[in-house]
Order: sequence, then C-alpha cells, then structure tokens
Amino acid sequence: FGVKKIQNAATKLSPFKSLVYSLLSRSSSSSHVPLRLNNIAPNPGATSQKRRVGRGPGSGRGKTSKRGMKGTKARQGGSVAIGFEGGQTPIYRRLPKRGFKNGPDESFNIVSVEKLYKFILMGRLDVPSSEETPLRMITLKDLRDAGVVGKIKHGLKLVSGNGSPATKLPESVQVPPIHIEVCSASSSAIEKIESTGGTVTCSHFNKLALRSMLKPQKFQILPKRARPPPKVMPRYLNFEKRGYLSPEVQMRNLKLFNKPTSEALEEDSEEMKE
Amino acid sequence: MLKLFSTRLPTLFNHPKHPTSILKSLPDRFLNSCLPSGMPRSQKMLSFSTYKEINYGEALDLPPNLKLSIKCKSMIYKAQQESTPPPPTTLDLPMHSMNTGKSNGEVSLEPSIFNHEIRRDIAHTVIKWQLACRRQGSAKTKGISEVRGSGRKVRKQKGGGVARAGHGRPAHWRGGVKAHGPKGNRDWSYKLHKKVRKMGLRVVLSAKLKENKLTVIDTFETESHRTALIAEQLKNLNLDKSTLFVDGKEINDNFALATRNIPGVKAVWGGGANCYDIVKHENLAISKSGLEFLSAKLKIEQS
Repeated sequence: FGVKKIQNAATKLSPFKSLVYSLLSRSSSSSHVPLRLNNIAPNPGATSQKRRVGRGPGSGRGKTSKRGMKGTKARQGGSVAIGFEGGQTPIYRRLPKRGFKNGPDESFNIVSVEKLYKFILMGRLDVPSSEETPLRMITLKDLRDAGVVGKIKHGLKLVSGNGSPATKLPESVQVPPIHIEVCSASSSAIEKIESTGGTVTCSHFNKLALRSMLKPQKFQILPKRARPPPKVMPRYLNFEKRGYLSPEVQMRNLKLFNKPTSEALEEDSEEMKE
Repeated sequence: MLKLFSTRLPTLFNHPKHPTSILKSLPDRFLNSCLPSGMPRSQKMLSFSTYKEINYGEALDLPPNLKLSIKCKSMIYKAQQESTPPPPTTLDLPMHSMNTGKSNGEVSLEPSIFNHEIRRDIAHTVIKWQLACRRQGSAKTKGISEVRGSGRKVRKQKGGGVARAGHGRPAHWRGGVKAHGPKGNRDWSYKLHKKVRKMGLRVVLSAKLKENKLTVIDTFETESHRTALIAEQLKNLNLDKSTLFVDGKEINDNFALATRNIPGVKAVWGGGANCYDIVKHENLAISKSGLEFLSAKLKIEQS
C-alpha cells in the first residue's frame, strides 16, 4: 500500500518465546504474535523519562534542583523584569527618546468591481434601472444594505479585482452599466466600469457625512456634506481620479443625474412634493 | 540472546524416575514458575510426565549435549497450546446467520482496512489514549487550608535552637500537608490525531482477521429479547465468551437487551468499535451493516 514499513521491536515477549512462536507456527512467513493488551508497546526511542527535580543525590538533580545557591533566581517566583540589567541603567533609559507618533491611519475599506458584478448577477444588489429619470447613483448605503461591505470605517475604495484570477468572472458574462459613488477608485476599476457604460464619482465623506449617509434615521434633518480639507482637496479636483469637484465630473453628473453627487438637495425634495 | 539455563537440581529432574514425594515438597512458587499458569496444583504434579511426550527436537534444532530446562519445556508446551492457525489468505469471509449457525454467503473485505500492516506501536498509542481519557482524575490530598490544625505559631521565632515554624502542618513535618498534591480535578485526557485513531482501528481489525477471530454475521435481528435464546445461538457459533458485536448505524434493540447480561459479551453500534474493546475481547463479530459502516469510515481511497 505504499506504507513505510517500520520495525516493531518491542512486543514484550521474551526472545525465547517469540522464537518458539515463530517455530511452532505452521507457515514460516506468518510470525504473527496475537495482538493482546499485554504485548503492545511503543517503538523503542519513542518515549523518554520525565525530568524530575529534587529527588535525591543519585539523580544528579537533587537538593538545590539545578538552581545553584541563593539569589533571586533560586526563589519561588524569582525572576527579573524584561530589560533589567542588575541595577545598571538599562539601555531603554540610557538612550534619548526620539520622534513622534503620527495619527491613526484612516484608510478606506476596499471593495472590488468583480464582487459588485457577482452580487448584481445573484440579484443581491439592485441596480437602479436606466428607465427611471433622472438616474440614481449606487451609494454607500445601498452597498451596505445589500451586504457587499460590512463596516465602512472611513470610506470605501473601489478596486478592479484583476489581480485575483480565481474570483474573475468569465468574459461572456454581460453586466449592466453601473453608476456608483465611492470615496476613491483605482484607475483599472474606473476603466472597467466605464467600458460597460457606467460612471464613477469619488466624493469626500467625513465622519458626519458617513454617518448621515449610512444611518439617516439618526438625524431629524440631514446635515449638508462638508467640503474636503485642503490637504486632501487636490484628489477631488482631479478628473483622472473622477473627483466630484472636478468640472468634467460635475457637468457629467448634472446631465445624467441632475445633481453633482448623491446628496439629496433641497430643491429636489420640494419638486418631489409638488 | 537465548538463555537456555540448566536446571538447578540436575540429579532430581534429569533422572527419568524421580519420586513424586520430592515434587510435593517443593514450594508453590517453584512449580508456578515452571508450569503453565491457570493450572490447579493437583494437575501440576501429574503434568511433568507430559513434557516427555513433546518432541523438542523438531521444534528446535538442539545439539545433543544441550538439554532444556523445565521452564523452557513449559514455555514450548504453552506455545503449542496457544499456537495460532495460519491467517486466511483471501479477504472473502463466509457470512454466518445467527439462527442457524451456518454460512449464508460470502463477503469481501476491504484490503485497506483488513489487510493493514500490523503497527503495534500505534495500537499501543490509541489504547493508552483511550484509557487515559476515561480516567476520573479524582485523586485528592488535603491542602493547607483543609488539613486539620490551627494557625497558631507553634514556638517562638527565636531562641529555641530549632528551626522557625509558623504553623503545625508544613510539608516536611509529620502530619503535614502534601505539597502540590493531587486536587481531585485532574483531567488526564489529551487529543490524539484523528488519523492515528483511525489507523489504530485498521491495525486492530486486521490483527483480528489474521488471528482468525473475526466472524461476519448477516444481521443481529432477533425475534425476542430473551437472553436464554440468544445464548444458545451464540454458543453454536462459539461467540458466547469474550466477544464484541459490532452493528451498523444502530444496535438492534432486541439483540442489545438479550446480550446485556451475558458476561464477556458486548454489543455496540458501528461508532462504538474502539481499539481497546476489540483487543480486550477475544472474538469480534461484525454484522453486514456494520461492515458497510466501518468501510465507509475507515476506507483509504487510493488515488
């Protein structure tokens, strides 16, 4: 069976008895000693004795039990703290402090275009139909409600998913055009979506904006979205990154959706009421 | 190394006509060491003559100047009594029916399960694990809070010329506490690789087949739960003493009730087949559904 044959030496039979068994068995090839509870044993070398300390001089580990004479280490629970150097100023106190710690990393959660397509084909993510006028964008709230994303901490980045061939959909699959709003998107993700006829808009969400987007029920009046801070402004003015403040993206969105972002404007609500 | 030792009293035992009175005066432990165990003392006296009947020349090619001691002869005698028949060459066993005691048909066994290499060390590992897991672990000694005695300071700290003592029950004192003793809650169980456990079953099942102690029975279905009726049927099959019966997904209720009171007989469902029970009981009887259960569980599919 391709099983490696290992010599089973210890059968706990005396050599004479095993010889007698082998000689008295009718066929010489079957030297099988009956397997009983009193003749099974581990292979020699498989087991070793436990080290027992403090049990007399003959063991070599008696009396002080390999702890030497007195001192902290000889005591029960006797050990020193990490870094302790016997009283000498330790190295972590000899050397000066250096530097500062930058603030916490506020990176975006990631979602891939392949995952979006899968959810759409499964029917778990509803794409707003192109017959509605005006068109509606897929927002972060839609993605969260459908279960595409679990928790959005600081924002969502759209990624193509070309790097993982295992999860790739076959090319014959037909996908509807998607109009989506996220916080940022990679260039290959933008290409992928715009090749089918969709659009990508990258808007800035601070903490309040995220909260009002994802949990509108907590607000009596939905707050307006803040503009991005200066440090981060350039990427939202950039058309290559489909920033929502770039003029090309704003023009495109006004034509398609009648508003630059997914944010509901006061004018819209009044019109709807009428 | 062979230890063929000459007898202690050559004049007594190598002489063809030794008086039995000398034998009677020998202590029991001498006789017990020579003769097969389990023999009553009355029989041991007479059995010395039977050793002469055994032809040792065939068993061992001894040169004429060497003579075997009584211990050696008794070991040969014992081995001859216990000598196992050769193992079956095919993996097709006849299937017996319990009612008639005769063979019904044939069953072919899986070679990966029943023709496995006999790994005694694996059997030892699994059986040791089984017995450890079932340990109760309730050994307990009294701790310092439980041992009887007050906390009164036994003698002065200084000035006695003797060691200081705070209470009357330190570990090195008579009547004192057992330091680090068992606390009554020790868990002796440990995890053993699942593949090792399965291999143990394969080893032990193939050992039973090799020793011709494996019988296949078509079903364990019986009409009544009466023990007396089952006992007769099992006796016809030579399965009334020290047998383990292994069924399929469930053990037949009537059979389980009937065999419950028979000493040495145990009936389990397919998952109850374990190395310890199989090795402990001399015979192993598996039903046809039990064979299917075991082969589904233990079969190695060769890719």
